[in-house]
Amino acid sequence: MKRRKFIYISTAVTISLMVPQTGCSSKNSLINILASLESLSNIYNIDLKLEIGKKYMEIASDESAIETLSNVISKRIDVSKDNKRFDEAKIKNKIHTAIIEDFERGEIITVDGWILSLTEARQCALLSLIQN
Amino acid sequence: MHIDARELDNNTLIEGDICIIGAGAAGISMALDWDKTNQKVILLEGGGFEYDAKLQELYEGKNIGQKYLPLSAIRLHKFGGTTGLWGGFCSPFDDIDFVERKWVEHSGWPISLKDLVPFYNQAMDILDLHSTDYSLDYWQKREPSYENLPFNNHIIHEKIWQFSPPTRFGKKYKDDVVNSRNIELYTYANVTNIAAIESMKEIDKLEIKNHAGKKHFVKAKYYILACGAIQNARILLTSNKQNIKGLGNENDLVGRYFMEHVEVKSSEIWLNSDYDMSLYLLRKGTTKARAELAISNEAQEKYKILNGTVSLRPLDIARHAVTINENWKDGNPYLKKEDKSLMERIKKKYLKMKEGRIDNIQRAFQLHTRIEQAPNPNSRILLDNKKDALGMNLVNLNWQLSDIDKDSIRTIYNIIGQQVGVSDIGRIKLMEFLREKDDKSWPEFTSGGFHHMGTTRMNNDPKKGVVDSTCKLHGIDNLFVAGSSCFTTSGASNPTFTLIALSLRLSNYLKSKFN
Repeated sequence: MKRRKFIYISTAVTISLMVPQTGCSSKNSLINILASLESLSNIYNIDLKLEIGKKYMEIASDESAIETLSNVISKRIDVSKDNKRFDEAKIKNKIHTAIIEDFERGEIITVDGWILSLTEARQCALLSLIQN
Repeated sequence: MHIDARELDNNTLIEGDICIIGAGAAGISMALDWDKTNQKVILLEGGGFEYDAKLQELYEGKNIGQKYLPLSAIRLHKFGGTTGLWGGFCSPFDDIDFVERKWVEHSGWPISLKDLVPFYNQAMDILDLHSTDYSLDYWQKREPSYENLPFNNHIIHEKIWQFSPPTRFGKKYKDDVVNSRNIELYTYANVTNIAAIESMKEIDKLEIKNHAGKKHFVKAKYYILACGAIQNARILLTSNKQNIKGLGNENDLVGRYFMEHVEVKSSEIWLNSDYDMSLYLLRKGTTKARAELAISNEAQEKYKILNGTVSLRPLDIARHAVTINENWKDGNPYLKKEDKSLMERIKKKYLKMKEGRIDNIQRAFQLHTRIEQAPNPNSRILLDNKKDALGMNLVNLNWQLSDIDKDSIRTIYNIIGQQVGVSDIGRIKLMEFLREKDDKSWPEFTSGGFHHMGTTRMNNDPKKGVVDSTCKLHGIDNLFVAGSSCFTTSGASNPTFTLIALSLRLSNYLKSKFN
C-alpha cells in the first residue's frame, strides 16, 4: 500500500470511530436518552424508577407503548426522531428544562405518592418498557 | 403568700380585688403582672405543687369524637399547670389568623395581631425567649449556617419558631408568687360553682372545694377564668344552678368550637443533593430557633386553604419515632414511652450531616404538618352525667374535624411538591392518606398537639362569641376569661405564646379599671 493511501484510509477509519462519541446515534439510542432520568438519579434507584413507570402506565394506559411515549417526550422537548444526528448532552438538557417547566406550568402528576413532572413520569414508563 | 385551702376552717370567705381561677401559664402570668400593685390578687389553684393522681382524676373525661388523647393525660392539675408538659415551641400568630377569611367559616377576630404585639414582647421575658424578632433575616445573620431552601417566597416562606427552655411555671415562678405581698395563692382550691347575683349581670361569689371535704367562698371585684379551654367551658357549664344553660351560655356557644392543631406526618422530601438543613432541624436544648415551611397569605387565599406549617425531621430517624398517640395511651401524663435512643440518633445524624452524606436516605426528611382547624360548632365540650369526687360533672370531648382541614393539608403538599420541582431541589412523596382527592378519612396517627382552644371564643356579637374583645363574658360585667379558650381561630402556631400575650392584654385592660 502506498503511504499516502494508507494515511487516507487510517484517517477515514479514525473519523468513523470518533463520530459516534461526538453525537451521531441511532433511533434506539435516542429512545434510551429519552428514558434517562438524570433529574431523579440522586433520589431513585432503578427499581423505583421502573415501579413508577409501571404505575404511570396504569394511570395512562393509552401511553403504554415505547413508540407513543418516545413520540410524546420528543415532541415535548422539540426533538425530531427522524434526525439521524443529535447531541446527547443537549437532549438531556432539554429534558431537564422541560421537567422544570412542567412544574412551573402545573403539568404534574402524582404516581404512587410521588409528585412528578409529567415528562419524568413518562420517562419512567418508557424506561420500564425498554427494560422489559 | 401561700395558703393550703385544706387547712382553712370550713366556709372561709376569701376576699380580694381580682380573683384568678387557675395557676397555669395564663393565670401565673397575669398574677405576676399585678405583683407590687395596690390590688389584692387571689390566685386559685385546684392542685398542689406536686403531681397528685387523685387530683388528676378530676380531669377525666371521654373522647366521643375524632380519636384523641386521654383528657386527664394532656393537662396537669397542679401549680404551673400544663407548662409541666409543655414543649417550649413559640411563634406569634400571623396577621391572617385574625382577619375574616371568606373561605373559612366563622373566622375573624374582633382584634388584630397589632393589638397583641406589645404583649408578645412582655411574654418573651416570661418564657425565656431570645428575641422579639422572628424574621428569617435576623436569624440568618445570627446563625450563618442557616441556609434556606430556594423556594419562591411569595408562595412558600420560612416561619420561625423560638424555643423556651421550656419554662416550667410551677418551678420558675413559685417563689415569686409565694413571696409576693399582694398575691394570695390558694392551693387545693377547685372552683366548683360560680354564683351570680339575681339579675345574672354580675358574679357574686365562687364556691371552692377540695378532697379534704372543705368548702370555701371567694368574693372579688373581678373574676378571671384561666383554667384552659376544657376546664373553662366546664366551669361555665356546670355553674347552672341559676340558669340551666350555665353562665354566659344564652346562645349555646360555651364549649363549642373546640379547636386543636391537627398534627400529622404527611409526606417525605427527597433532596437531590446536599443542603445544610440546620435551619429546619431541632436539637433539643441547643436550638434557639428553627424554621418551618409556611404557605403565603396570597397562596392561602388563592387555594382557599387554612394556615399551617410543615416541619422537617430526618427520615431515617422519623421512621423509628413513636407517634404522639402511642406515647400517651393511658390517663397518666407521665406514663409515656421514651425512646431514649432517638435523641442519640438525632445527635449522630446532625453530626453526620456536617461531615457529608453517603446514602440517599440521608438527604430525605419526613414532613410533618401542624395546621389550624376550621372553627366547627359541632366540635365541642359537653357535660357528662357522671360527677367527679367534688361533685362536678365530668366532661366529654367531641372533637370534630371538617373537610377543609384535610383538603388544606393535601393542597399544602401539592404546593410544596410543585415548588420543590420548580426549585429543582428534589421530590415530594405523599403519604397514602393524602393521595386520593375524595378520601375524607384520617389515619390512626392523626393527633392534636395538646392545644385546646376556642371554647369561649371571642366575638363582639353575643350570638357569635362567648367573650367580647376585652375577654369579658357577654352579659356579665365582672367575669373574664383568659387564655386560648378565647381564640376565635387557632392559627398555625402553638398557642402558649399567644395565650400569654392575650392574657397580659386582659390584665392591662383590668388595670385600667382600677386606675
